[in-house]
Amino acid sequence: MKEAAEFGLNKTPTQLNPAMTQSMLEGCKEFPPHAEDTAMDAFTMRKLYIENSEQLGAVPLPSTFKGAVSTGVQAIKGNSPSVLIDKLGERLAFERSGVRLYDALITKCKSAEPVLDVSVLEQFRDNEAEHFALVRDCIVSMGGDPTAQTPCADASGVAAMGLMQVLNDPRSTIPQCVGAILMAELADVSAWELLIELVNEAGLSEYVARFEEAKDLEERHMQTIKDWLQSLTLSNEARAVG
Amino acid sequence: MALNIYENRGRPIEKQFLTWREMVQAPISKLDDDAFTRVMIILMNGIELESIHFSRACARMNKDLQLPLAQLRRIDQHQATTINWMLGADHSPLETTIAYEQVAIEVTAAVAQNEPDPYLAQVYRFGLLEDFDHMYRYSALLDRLEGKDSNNILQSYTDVLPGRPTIYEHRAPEDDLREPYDRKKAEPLSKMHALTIMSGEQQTWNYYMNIGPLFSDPIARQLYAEIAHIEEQHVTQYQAIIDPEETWLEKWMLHKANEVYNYYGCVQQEKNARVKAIWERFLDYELGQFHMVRELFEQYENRDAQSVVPTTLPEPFPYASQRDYVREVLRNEVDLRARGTAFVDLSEESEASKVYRQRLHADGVPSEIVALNYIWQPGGELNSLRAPMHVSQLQH
Repeated sequence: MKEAAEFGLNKTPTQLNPAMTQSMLEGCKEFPPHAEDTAMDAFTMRKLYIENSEQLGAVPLPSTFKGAVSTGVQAIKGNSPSVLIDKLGERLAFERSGVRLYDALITKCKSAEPVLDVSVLEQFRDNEAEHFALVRDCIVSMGGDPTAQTPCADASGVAAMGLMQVLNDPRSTIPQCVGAILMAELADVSAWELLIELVNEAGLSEYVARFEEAKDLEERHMQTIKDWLQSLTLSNEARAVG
Repeated sequence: MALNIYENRGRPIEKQFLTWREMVQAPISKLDDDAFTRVMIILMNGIELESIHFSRACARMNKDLQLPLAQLRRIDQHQATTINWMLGADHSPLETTIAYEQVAIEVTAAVAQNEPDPYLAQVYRFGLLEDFDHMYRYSALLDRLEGKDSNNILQSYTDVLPGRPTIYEHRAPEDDLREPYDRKKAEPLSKMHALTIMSGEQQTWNYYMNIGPLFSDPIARQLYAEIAHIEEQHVTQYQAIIDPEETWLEKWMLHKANEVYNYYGCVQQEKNARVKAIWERFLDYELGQFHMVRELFEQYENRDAQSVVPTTLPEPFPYASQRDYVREVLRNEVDLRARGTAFVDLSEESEASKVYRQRLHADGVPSEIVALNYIWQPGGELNSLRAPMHVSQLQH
């Protein structure tokens, strides 16, 4: 059972060791901080690096000249085509990772007493895979290469590393995993909203409606996951939710 | 009770084997296990890694020993994996760094107090105050970068205070060498201490060199670069105190005796029954490995192993807070500097080291930048700020 954690002997509170903690504080008085070199401060140092840094990388050019000058890329108004390719690449990567996050949650749920409806999770996982395919087709239709990792895909992958760690840790509870999935779904809904505006602006009308459907589905995922988390947390007992 | 290493034959080599499932066990709890459980895990991983490093170097220089070295190195590999994988993935690399520095402080302080050779004790005290300062700098980084309290790892056993400022620890290579013990006169305990501390520092260097690039923040990247540099100096210092006249087989046997010595200390002091069972199993393994190397030593060198490793190993050092001792050393020796292999007052420090560090520090010093005005508070420095927390209070 991977239910909520119980009270126990957590050794991190300082109040467990009042005498030792008091001694530490007294030490801070006897041995105060002293700056040996103040020629450089943290803000200036970081600013220097920020000013002199390259970006994570470039947005890959569409793989064919035909693709670059036809259809969507050419039609984009008021925005750089690279932004659209970059954000599509991000969505592609996020949906692909989303499949794997659900895989991890499904494994965890199947290994414990049934507190979540696994068939619903499997449906959500399949939806993420469908959205991955949808974005892939969109990129291909623009002459882009869906195997490329764009800079926004890279950054969102870094941001999601913690979610993956929580979901795959055998020790994490189902509510902790559901909380991690909720973070992904909340980000997903907002990202689809933005992407719809981008494809709309670019005149990719055939994808606007399909992306709207994807967003609606992601909203349902998010709401379901949010309700589950609430139910798991507030009832704090083993019962089927779904 | 001290261990008789010759009476205990341990587990035969051919029976020393682990499956992937045995190597990858459930990790310890970062929250619930005692900090010294983690300290032992980190130190023993370092001891095993040194055994592997030594074995590789030895194999490159000794054709006849390559097979037995490879056999034992493979078991070391399984042992190191089992031990290192006991650390859970909920430790961030920086939290694990705090734990590494806790190992350096508490183990070096315990060793310094037990060391029979006054010069070697001085070497340990010298290194201790430098690692002590690293804890302070990394704690400031953990608090200011990740918003976490290093004491969640330290559990109040170890102070978070400035030591010998890291800015003054960078020296010219000639000032990091030390005088070695004499293999014929040194106490066995001195040899165990030197190998133990050298192993710990070497794995710390290795760890910082590997995880430094994992950070996105430029100050964190610089701080790891700066402190990894000192870890390299420390390895230089600690490997210098080991007599280079020891033969390859003598060194190999001492490595195995030191592993027995350290596992025995863990068996005696570990409170987590599951972890203790691993120490017991590996103590049995090391005894078996020691006797295999002992036989090779006697075969090739035609001399009695007891001329190098005594019948009864020394008493293990304690795994406990050495706060009072560390502060005493801090009060008395924070201004010591190195000049060649000698320790001198800062007024007599070598010109070579001063010039060397001036060049390193020309573009700013990360250990200074990160810890400016940092004072540890339970729960993090934000607890010492006045509410509401204006931007001026938060900038550092």
